[in-house]
Amino acid sequence: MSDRTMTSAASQWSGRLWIGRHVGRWVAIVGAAVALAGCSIKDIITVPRPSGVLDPKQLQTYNGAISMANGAQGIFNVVFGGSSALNGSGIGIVGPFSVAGGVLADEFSTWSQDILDGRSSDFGSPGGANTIFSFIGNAHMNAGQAIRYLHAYASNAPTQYLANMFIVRAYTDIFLSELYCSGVPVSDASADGSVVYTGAVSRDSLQKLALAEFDSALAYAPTDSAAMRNFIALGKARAYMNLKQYDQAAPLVAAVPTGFAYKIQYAGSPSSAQPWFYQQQYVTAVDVEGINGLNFRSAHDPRLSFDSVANYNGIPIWVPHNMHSSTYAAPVESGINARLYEAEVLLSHQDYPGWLNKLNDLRANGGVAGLAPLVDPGNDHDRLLLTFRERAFWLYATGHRLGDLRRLVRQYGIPQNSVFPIGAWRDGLQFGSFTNSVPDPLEVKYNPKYTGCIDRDA
Amino acid sequence: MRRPLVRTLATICVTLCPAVILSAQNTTHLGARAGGVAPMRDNDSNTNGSPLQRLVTLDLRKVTLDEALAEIDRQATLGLSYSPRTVPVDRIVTIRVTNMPASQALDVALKGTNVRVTVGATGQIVLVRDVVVEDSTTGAVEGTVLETSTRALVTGATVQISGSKIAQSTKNDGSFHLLSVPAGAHVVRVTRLGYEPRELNVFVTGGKSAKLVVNLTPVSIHLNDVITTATGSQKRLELGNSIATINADSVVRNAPVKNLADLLAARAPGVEVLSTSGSLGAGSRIRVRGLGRVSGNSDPIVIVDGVRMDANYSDYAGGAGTDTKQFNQAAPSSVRSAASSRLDDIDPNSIETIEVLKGPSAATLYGSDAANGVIVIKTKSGRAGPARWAFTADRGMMQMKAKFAEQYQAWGESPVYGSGAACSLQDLVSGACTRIDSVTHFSPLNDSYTTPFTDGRTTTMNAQVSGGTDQMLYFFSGSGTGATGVLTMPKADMALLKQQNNNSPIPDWQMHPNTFSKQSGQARMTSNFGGTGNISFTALATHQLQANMGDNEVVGAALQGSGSKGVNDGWASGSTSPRPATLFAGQGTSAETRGTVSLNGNWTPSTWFNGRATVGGDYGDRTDNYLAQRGTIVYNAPNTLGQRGRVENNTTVYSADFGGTVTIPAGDLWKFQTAAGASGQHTYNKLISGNGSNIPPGATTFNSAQTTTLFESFDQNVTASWFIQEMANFRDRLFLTGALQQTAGSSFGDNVEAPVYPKLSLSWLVSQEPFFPQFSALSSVRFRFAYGHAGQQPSTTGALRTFSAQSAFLNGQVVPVATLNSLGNSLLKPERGTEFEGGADLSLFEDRLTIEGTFYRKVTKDALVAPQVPPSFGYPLVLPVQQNVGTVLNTGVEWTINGTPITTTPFTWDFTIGISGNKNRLTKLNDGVFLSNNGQEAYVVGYPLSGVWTRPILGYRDANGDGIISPNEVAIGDSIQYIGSGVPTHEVSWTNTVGFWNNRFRVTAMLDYQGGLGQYDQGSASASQHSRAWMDPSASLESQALVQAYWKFPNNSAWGYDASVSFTRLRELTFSYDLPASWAQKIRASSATLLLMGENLRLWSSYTGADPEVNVNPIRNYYYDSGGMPLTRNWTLRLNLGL
Repeated sequence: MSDRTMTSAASQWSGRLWIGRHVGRWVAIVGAAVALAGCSIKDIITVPRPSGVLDPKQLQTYNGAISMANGAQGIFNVVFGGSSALNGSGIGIVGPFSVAGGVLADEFSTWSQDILDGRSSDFGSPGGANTIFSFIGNAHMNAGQAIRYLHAYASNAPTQYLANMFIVRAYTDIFLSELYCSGVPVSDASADGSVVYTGAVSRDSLQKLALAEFDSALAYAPTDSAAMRNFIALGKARAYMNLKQYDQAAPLVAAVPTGFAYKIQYAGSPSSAQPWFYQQQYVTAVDVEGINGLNFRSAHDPRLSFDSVANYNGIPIWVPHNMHSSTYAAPVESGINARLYEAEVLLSHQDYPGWLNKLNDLRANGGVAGLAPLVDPGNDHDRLLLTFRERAFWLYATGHRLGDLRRLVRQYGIPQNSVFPIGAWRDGLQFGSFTNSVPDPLEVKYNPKYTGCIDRDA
Repeated sequence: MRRPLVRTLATICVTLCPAVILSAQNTTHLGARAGGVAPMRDNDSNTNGSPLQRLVTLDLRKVTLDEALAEIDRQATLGLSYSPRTVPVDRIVTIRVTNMPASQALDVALKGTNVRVTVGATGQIVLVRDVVVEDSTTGAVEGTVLETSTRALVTGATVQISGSKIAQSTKNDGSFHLLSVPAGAHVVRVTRLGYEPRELNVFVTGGKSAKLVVNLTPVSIHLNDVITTATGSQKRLELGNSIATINADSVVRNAPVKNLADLLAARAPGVEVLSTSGSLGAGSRIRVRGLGRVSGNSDPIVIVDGVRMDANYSDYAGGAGTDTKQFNQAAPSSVRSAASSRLDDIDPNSIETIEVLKGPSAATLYGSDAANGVIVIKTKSGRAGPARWAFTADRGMMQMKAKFAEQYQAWGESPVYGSGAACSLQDLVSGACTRIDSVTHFSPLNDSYTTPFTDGRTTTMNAQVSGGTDQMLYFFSGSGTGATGVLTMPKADMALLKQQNNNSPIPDWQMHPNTFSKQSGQARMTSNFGGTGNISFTALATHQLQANMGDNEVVGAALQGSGSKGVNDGWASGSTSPRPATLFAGQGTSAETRGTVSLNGNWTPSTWFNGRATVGGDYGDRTDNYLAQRGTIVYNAPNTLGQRGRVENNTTVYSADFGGTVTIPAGDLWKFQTAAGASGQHTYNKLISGNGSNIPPGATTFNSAQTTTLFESFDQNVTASWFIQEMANFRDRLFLTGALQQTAGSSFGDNVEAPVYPKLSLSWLVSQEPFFPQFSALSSVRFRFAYGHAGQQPSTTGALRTFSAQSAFLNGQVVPVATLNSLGNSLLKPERGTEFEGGADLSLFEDRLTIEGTFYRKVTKDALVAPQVPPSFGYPLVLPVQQNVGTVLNTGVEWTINGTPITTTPFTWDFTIGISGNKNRLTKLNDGVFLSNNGQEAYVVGYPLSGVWTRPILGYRDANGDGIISPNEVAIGDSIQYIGSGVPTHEVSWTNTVGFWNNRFRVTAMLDYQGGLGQYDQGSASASQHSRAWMDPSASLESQALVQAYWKFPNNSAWGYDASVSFTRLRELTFSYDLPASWAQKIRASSATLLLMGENLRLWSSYTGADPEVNVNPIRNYYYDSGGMPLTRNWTLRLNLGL
């Protein structure tokens, strides 16, 4: 073998060894890195949950379940009369439930064209009513979640928590039925937290759902908690009244004292714990709105007084005097309503003396001085309107007015055009023909089971 | 016996150990490797099991080498043979080793002696000196390889004696030395990636060395660019992708570049830079190869010197991703300003190059965040030599030159107000007015007494110094910018304020509500370690402060004006469109501090291995402040009572990246390169905000506010990834690359495996193939193809089922509460972008004309969509859940044409044309998933994402013949109709530079055309009740119909204000003049250049609004003009000095 041949052969042989060795070395390094990465990559990428959002496991405790119940209750408070409140999300220009119905009825007016859409259009957006719809749904859903957690992780907690959650669900059912059309979705959360879609639930079905929820609440309500039981009784009565089952309602509230009131107290600070009326600048109490509206301001009734708190484009904004406080306690239900229900039931039985006595007794002992006794107007139509006028003044801005007007139309056959605002609104626009709002149009888009209202009847 | 042995070993070393050089004079050689021992290790396969592997332990101090060798010999029983003539036996050495193989111990002992250990055929271990015995049959060939034009040393070129295996790669100094070349005539072939092969004839005389200087001509300068990739630096020629490279250093010095967006705009086909406002400090929206995402951030990611820079807008909104938070978050929405861009935190003066990896096929190795593309920024570094200084000083002027529509007002007779009443055409219809007597028109933006615009000023200074030695290089840069924008308090409003405030002086911040200042610094130190490695440390720091209250509101407010200078100075009198005195009454600032550091290490211990490591961090802090003192603003009650806001965001990203590359030649034809690495990132986002309202007069702090709110959020995100890549290189002309990347991320659902992203690419320099026909005009032709995947992460909390923890006041006490916040999605995974691209690069006329054409097809699967939960479930209190439910297709073409047609001494001309077209389609959306239709924006399968849609006007008819179109006389279609794409579908940019007088005087102009953009002129639409069509009886019926359709109630249409828009803009015009050296020397400068630079000098468009390019939102895809500030015309005078 020549030197040259030997050199070439050695070169090739050595080269192969060199390549083989280094490739092998590199493959080993990479293999080890991959193995290492594969073993521990899950650990590497695990990070704490973001602050401000709780791990579900943290709620699977006694205190966690109680917090959930408090959360649902907090949202309910916002729904009824609160402000920007939880999650920093505003309740919307139409206001919470205690105001929104009044805007659609004759208690309040806003400058937003949106609310007019809800009145006048059968396919347009109901505007500001969207947000309150979401809040109601959210309170309902969170209360359902809380019930699960209370059962699972806080079975030894005071039963009033469970009772409260059923009350929240029942009252939100009623709110939906009174503010919106017949055929409203009531979505919920499943045990694993996923969305349980529902289709259109009719107005009457919502009352029945509420009655069932109230019965559950009653089962858990402490026997010594008269306030809670009164609140439940008033809720059930409201559902029966909405169902036109007056005789079922009256006995329920008989034991409720006239002086009873279930109020939501707001702390006053921070702004998230203030009543909506204290912050808002866009809704005003109106007087004789749309021809048929009651003369809430000009009647100078001792039950109502108003402050002009601001102006919008030069138009004064009137707010009920007692509501313009950062610590205002908003009554959801009261013994006054119990007496009013009783009066209405008496009227339905044509017990005119009983009916008049009931109303006048309330005038005398309802806590407001200076109310003269009423006189029987002498015919059923006027007696009915008088009854509902009394309801309107006693229950001003408590979320009853729209339901009452709708009952007048639906249950008593009073023409809509004689009780709801009609005619010119402003800027050349007219009041519409609908007595209720529709769920947020996004519901149709994002809820596969919901296609819209069953009807827009009162 | 000795001579053949020595000769054989020398020959082996020539073949296998290119570092060993044999002297032609047969003198002792100087091996490149210390002591000549390394080659022995390379060749020590025949020492396995030999005595040389035996371990020895030595502790010898100041002994002779002879004694040391004897001790090693004794411990390892080597039977060592050497001659005192060969080995400097009397040399004094000190050796301390423990359990070291004898071969290595000998290396240590013989270090610096040029003596090596060899093993004879019989196993005898001999110490020899690297000598060549004079041999008349062989000689050597030595020399240097240089690049033809630049005379730069060419390293890594293969020099081979044709027809033999005698070959070597050139070293760092470009030299080569081929040994044992048989005497006689030979052909030496020199090849190097990116250069034309050379063959030279050489005659070798026995025992002597022939010397050569080889000049290599680049195949294409363009193809020789070095691209920074995830695996390290690579030649463009090796890559199968089209990668846009912007030589920032050159551009910044010669063009009006203020920020990164200016650097990118119209300089890289397929990269669209969309301005958001003419306001100072306003950011831009950057989209690469169209829209790939249905929801979420569509920005490319940014890598600065290997470190991930957080430019994600949503991170600066505390992870919430709510785009409105990008404005001054502390201010009320009515006066929020244009959003800034975190990309612009980088000082352009610090950038050497920007490379844009445009899609998944190029960005595969960047993994689960790179589907929108990657912007790779390489900052400047020092160059060896004495300190070299460079100074730049700018002085600029900004002007508002946009044309604004005038507002109209009709005046007539009203039954209520009598004559001189404000009327409109609809008032005539309704009877609110009985006749119209006159129509006035006016725009407060166009009148010198009422306009809020004036000339703005900007000053920028930059100083840079670089230098160092071969061992240590440095680069420092510092910049400062101060600017006052075009917004000012109008004279009319000044008079109003002085009247209201008893002639109190108006504070400067109120007089000039749009100001901007920025200070930036960069330091980079690089330490080289004997040519085998280096470590670089880079630190970038920026602080900027911008104030711009009301800048995005003032034009829209003016469009609602009174139509008469005599009425409220032409501004609206209502509260919803406040005049400048009100808009500028609050003081809002946004301060941003950013620091980015990186530590890069490169280690190349041998020709076959390169290792690299980068660790670094990026910290950004943004603080927004707002203060409106009590009583200063009259239109909004909370502000009337006084309002204080402060929002602090900060984001920190830690990055680590490690990798290595092994290069393995396989014969003469193939070379294999294996790269592997791992990287990780950890991102922290924090947001704290406070708001106080109802502040006593004169008070300015939260303490005195009657009501306060606080909000805090914190989240973090981690990704970890690894990759492996194999590249096969065939004769430096065909490159086939395959790679796999896997990324795991904390934002993925618990039930999701870490996705693996594959990549394949081919680059073929076909013009180097023997079969390719040779044309003198054709310098090179390359074909390239690439296929790859990359991902896009879900939102940080998208996979998590979360509850919100707060407190509430219940039953008279504050209690903790929890509510469902998000349902979460345990199956959430990244979007997956799959892209194929193919293209060709042509170089003609010796690189005077290069053409690069690319076609791509990018499919984004598992597109992240967050369908809303139904309102009945509680939206928006319960957040939408991200799901992987859609597919998006982007196809397009990109062309880059560079030409240098004329390069004569008196006159030069070069140009660059960039052409891009993109077709974007939402191709699939899972059943049951509906996306929002945000007024004019809709997501419809078969159409571009975020397209502009509206219901068409079917017709109009003046049915009652009153000459006025009423709403009921306009027919509007029931279904929405597609108008245009969310982003421009095509763009052409054309940059020309002509030089005169030996290129001493240059003129550069850049024209930019964009088309296919669906634009909603919302500003004009909402102000159309102040338009001529609303007021003037002589307005055409068609224009009345458009306005009435917009205001029709219910179910209106913005048909008249939606359009597919195209525009051409003269973006840049620069005159530069190199001052004579004698002038420069008078100020002790080596060079001086004076530049006059113009920006946005001319706009050609049929768009009805003020500027088709601006919109209010840099984040979302939807593109609409709400009456934001048009781009300003800028002129800048600059002096560049080199010392």
